[in-house]
Amino acid sequence: MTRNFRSPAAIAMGAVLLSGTALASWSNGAGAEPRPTLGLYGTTGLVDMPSALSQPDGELTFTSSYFAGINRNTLSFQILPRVQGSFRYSGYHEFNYAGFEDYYDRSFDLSFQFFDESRYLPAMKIGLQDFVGTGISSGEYIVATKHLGPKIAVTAGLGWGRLGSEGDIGSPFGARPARDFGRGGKPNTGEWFKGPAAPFAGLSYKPSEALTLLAEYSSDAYRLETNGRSASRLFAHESPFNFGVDYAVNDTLTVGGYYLYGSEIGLRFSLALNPARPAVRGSVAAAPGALAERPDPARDPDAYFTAWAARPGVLKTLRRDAHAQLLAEGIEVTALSITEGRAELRFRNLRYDAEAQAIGRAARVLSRVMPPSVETFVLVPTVFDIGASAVTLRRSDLERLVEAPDAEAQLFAVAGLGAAGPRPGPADRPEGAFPKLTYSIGPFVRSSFFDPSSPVRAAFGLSLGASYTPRPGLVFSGAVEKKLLGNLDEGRPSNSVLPHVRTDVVRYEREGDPALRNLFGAYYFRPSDDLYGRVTAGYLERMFGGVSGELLYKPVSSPLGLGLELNYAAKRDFDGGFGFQDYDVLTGHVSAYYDFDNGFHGQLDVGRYLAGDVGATLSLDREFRNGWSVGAFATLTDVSAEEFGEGSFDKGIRISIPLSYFTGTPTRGSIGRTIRPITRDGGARLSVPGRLYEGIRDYHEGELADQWGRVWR
Amino acid sequence: MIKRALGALGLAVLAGCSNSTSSSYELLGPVLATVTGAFGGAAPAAGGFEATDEQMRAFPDPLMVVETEATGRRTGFLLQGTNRDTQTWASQDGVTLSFRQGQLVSSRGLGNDLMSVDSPDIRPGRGTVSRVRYRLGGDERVVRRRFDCTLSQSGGETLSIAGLPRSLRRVTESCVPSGAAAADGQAFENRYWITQGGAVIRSRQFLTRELGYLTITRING
Repeated sequence: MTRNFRSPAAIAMGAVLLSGTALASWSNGAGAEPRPTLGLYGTTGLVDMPSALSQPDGELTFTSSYFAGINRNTLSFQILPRVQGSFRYSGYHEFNYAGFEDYYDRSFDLSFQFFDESRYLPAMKIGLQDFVGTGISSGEYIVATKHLGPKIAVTAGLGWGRLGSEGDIGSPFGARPARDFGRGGKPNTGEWFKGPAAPFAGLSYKPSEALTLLAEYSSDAYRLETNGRSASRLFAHESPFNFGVDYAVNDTLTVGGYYLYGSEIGLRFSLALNPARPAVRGSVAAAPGALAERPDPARDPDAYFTAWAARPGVLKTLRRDAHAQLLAEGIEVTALSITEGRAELRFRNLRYDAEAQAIGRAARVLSRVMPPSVETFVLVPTVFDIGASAVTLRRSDLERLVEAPDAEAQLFAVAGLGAAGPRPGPADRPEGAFPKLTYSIGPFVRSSFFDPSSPVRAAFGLSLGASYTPRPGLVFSGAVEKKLLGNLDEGRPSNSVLPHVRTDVVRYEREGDPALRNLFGAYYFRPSDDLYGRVTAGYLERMFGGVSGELLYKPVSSPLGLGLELNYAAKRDFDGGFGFQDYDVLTGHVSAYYDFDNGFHGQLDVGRYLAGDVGATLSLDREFRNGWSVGAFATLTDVSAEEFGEGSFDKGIRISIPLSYFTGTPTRGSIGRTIRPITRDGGARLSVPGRLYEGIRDYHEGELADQWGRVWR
Repeated sequence: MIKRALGALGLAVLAGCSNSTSSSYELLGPVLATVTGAFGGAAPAAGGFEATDEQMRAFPDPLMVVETEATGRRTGFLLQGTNRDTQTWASQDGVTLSFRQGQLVSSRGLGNDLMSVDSPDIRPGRGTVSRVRYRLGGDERVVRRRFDCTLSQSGGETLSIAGLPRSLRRVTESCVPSGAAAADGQAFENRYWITQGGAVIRSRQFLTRELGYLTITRING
């Protein structure tokens, strides 16, 4: 193999000849998939009315709209090609409703496009708006949309509830029962499609790629906002006709301007992201180093001599070279066992969100370092210093396939994937791998949403952390933090009738600054091939300390994992120090995890929660190959809705997006958030650092296969 | 107050939390750039390839000059290594291009890279051949696209290579997508200027829909 970068001539000439290689900065001219407009509710629609169209699969949009004192902030997700789900937080400014001057409301929508548009027939959709809880925006609809040519689409539908309040045609399915939402949080099934129904219609015209003109007849009379039960009128409903302009500023941002109900001006802006439409089209990070090819053994059998293995110092040198080259690739060696024909590398992947990419890069480095007689590479990615799996690659396969057509699939077919072997002894560790001390200092942000007196609160501060790993699998870790500014400590005191396991957050914010965030020791081990174990003790999280033990059963190639976790936890003092309060609990769960073929991941946890309540949590996430994940969870326990308080039971949605999606360069980082309409004490779980499943499964077959396309990247 | 909440909520949803505390700050830049549409690719472009013909001829090692048709930008590539019948060339900023019989068979570091190609022998310069391209898509799937290509040739064109005239045969390969996904594919036309010995000295080859065509010139070696 030639490596011209090392030749002196190349270096001398490089400065002149290779000044500024700008290939990677060529523009991305890819055309965007057409996307239907979003309405003021942040769901697929015209102005204030829904349409029967769907966003591209996986489209995640955040919309904020405003008119007549009504602000709607909506997160919508195209869960499936035909199903869109939305979570909305609305504010009604100076509404004077239900005892609040400014009224805030959380709502969920769900719609299902049950009929695709065809040559003669329209797309058809059925939808529920604000179908859970207090429901001041509740409405149901059936709607049809048909394109007349590429630029014009007509929409017509029938609405109930709020969407059946203007110009109704009677109540086809009987009267709508009076609302009885209790503590909220439950589907108001009894009301759906009951009461007066009213038709609505609209027209959209798209004169150019970026611009859409909209007109509609709205079936929402806005009775609550214009008169009736509300003491103040937000606006005057002069006309059922609305008009709008939608403009796509770029692939991500669209803005809308509207003239509403004959009296109001409205504005909307929407951000749209799609897992299949990364900001940077694919990875633009540096190409991998070469895969070195060995001499042909028939022509040069001497190159394959094996006596090197017995020579003093050779193994140490190989280990040191591999360590240096791998570290440059973001791969940290914790052990490298070398024999005449086999090299087994145990490593921590510090860089690649696509796990297969770490495998490929590690193999390339070994090909450049290992003597030719080493034919078998065993790559063992470690998580918490336990081998998560073992990928076995024949070096001759790598050489044969690196430039072959369809090289990814071909390599996958011959790669061996199995459980990692036992941890090797200290002799195989590179110098300085253990003990290891790391520390970090960085900013933190915490936020809380949906307190009616201040819908968004946040705190910013600095966090200082350190961790010490004396030997593989054993880690001591701690973090302290100091707030610099924020208003998280201004929230309401808890009114919970349950033990205050989560609702005392304001007291922790107020009294615990600076605070010891956590301080614990953890030991990770593997009792057998498919079994992983963890014992953690100390100050586990801000509100609890104690002892936690976990066992996970997860065969490398199985989509099913089973877990068992037992914890004894005591509530920590509000001051964030070393003390405990007079509340302790035995909590724990049995868990089943299942990675479905179709990109969905399910988890069921059954057990005892922090407040001593017994029940189960069901979580379902849609996971995309590039690491995007959007999901929802709900917990039902033996705590009654009355005891639980507002919201009736614990539930929420969660989103996680890998940072590499935004930057196009590999990183293990991601941004994410769990959004709960409200956090109460029922159905709360202990937050234990370093739980096994999510880390381990990254290197199991499902996840490795998802991004195997990057193994040669 | 609502407006303030609105802005804060938007940012918080996108940037409020992360695996590691510093990530939200790393993220703010890219998120803002996403919103403002400022993404172009990787590192900002600096300078350009500015060697004279004389410098190129004097260069002692194999050198390849690659120009993007869309932007006119030129970049120098050096031979990184050879694996069997495939040469991999690397630029200093971490892009590699691999060639088999002078045909571009993979790229790395350009985003949605061309991962591999099942390439035909184009040297006969006539007949119909099949070309299969594998690309890594934004959804992390390697997408296979097959193309039916018609070869034609014309003899004796004189090209200036690093200032020196070379008489070369031109082979043109016109490809149209074939198979079930034909509608997704894009037709393209590659041109190769070939020596009597069969070496491709210059070519104009299709890379990807986003990056268009590359004009590739082998200077020496």
